[in-house]
Amino acid sequence: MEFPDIIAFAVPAFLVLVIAELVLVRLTRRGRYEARDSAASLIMGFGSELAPLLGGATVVLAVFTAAYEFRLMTIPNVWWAVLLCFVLDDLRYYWWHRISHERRWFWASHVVHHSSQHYNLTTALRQTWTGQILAAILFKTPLVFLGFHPAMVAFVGAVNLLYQFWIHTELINRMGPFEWVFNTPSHHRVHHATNPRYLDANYAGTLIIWDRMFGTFIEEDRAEKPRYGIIKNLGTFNPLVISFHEWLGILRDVLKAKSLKEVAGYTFGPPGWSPDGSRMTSAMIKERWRRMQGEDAPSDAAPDHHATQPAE
Amino acid sequence: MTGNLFVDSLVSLAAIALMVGLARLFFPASGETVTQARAAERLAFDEPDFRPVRWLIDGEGRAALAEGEAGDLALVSRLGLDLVTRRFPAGAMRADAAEGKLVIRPGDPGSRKVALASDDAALWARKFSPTGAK
Repeated sequence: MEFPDIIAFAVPAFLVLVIAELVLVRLTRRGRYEARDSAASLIMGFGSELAPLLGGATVVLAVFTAAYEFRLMTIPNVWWAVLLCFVLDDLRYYWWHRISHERRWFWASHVVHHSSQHYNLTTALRQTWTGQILAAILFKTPLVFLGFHPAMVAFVGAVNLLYQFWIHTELINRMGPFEWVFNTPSHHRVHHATNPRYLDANYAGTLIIWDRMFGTFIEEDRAEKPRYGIIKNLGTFNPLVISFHEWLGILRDVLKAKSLKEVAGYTFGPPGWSPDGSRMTSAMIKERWRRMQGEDAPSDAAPDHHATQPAE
Repeated sequence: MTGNLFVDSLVSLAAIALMVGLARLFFPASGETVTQARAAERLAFDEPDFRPVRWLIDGEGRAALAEGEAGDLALVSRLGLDLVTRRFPAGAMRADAAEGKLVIRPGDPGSRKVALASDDAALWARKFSPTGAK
């Protein structure tokens, strides 16, 4: 079975769909575009395709090849194996994505994707220049080690990424029963929102069932429109700042750390963690919001619990 | 695509230029300014427990600075169509007055220098300790 490079085939489709969205948003006023924001997103996407060519892709290929040499079993390249691999890869995506929000080391790469205050198809292409290699090695190698061919693992990962392109839009509202199983624009708008009500939710790639299973699903509330971005939005469209600001933040914090525990907290703790609690993790933000809403807040605001976006 | 990295890169850059050009054509910059009302609305979302008591609004509509009840400060600046906020504990913001402008350097890697033109720039500059922003 041959596995085509579908990302390469998809690039013309990206162009057509972005132009179609531009026209429709202009006509319907459902959604927003800002040329400089889109330029930043598209440059980030362009760079993310080039970044692995600096050597990381070779490293991943070597790790996959070694893992496949020592695989537990040989899973044939047949249709049901592709389907099984896709579902397992989607589960892998869920956990990778969740950890990318809960641990600052991974967030430093993933923050790029959330750093736009806009939500349109160009936002989908705002991808990281860093972190792809480690993510592939840590989270995809187990599938190869299990016995799926590396080409199949790469293929289903690409399908998953392609699926996520179209859900970055405000043009599509709710989608009925389709939303019970699949990730949709509505579900993913919640994921990109900074409203406290929506934080830490909807990490799914293709199948929303993982969020429903693991307790991270939040439905879009018609009464509360999502506001996109990160807790501490960037003050620039500069792609270099977009790409590296959180890494610089980690470096700066580590340099002023007073103990190894603080170094570990700043590096691998939740985004927004600080030794004295002077910054806010997403759990603390949710707790504050509940308090201000006058709700009966459960005590889940421990500094090391379910934090997502940096609030330093 | 063609499989040739150089050619593919050029095609991608051309496609980016087309998309950005259309975005600029369909959605020209609106030139919105930062008003106290806009800044207050944004602050209420980003920093709901901040209570502004005094405001400095940039005469050119680029930013607004609010002083809170506890002497803490919140800066709201414009980025394209949107606003960006930064909050500083009392005495932790770096700022200077120069040529009738209050120049603020938030100091975090995701921010840039912001200048507020106002007759009160020098007055506000004197409020701030030079200890550096958090």
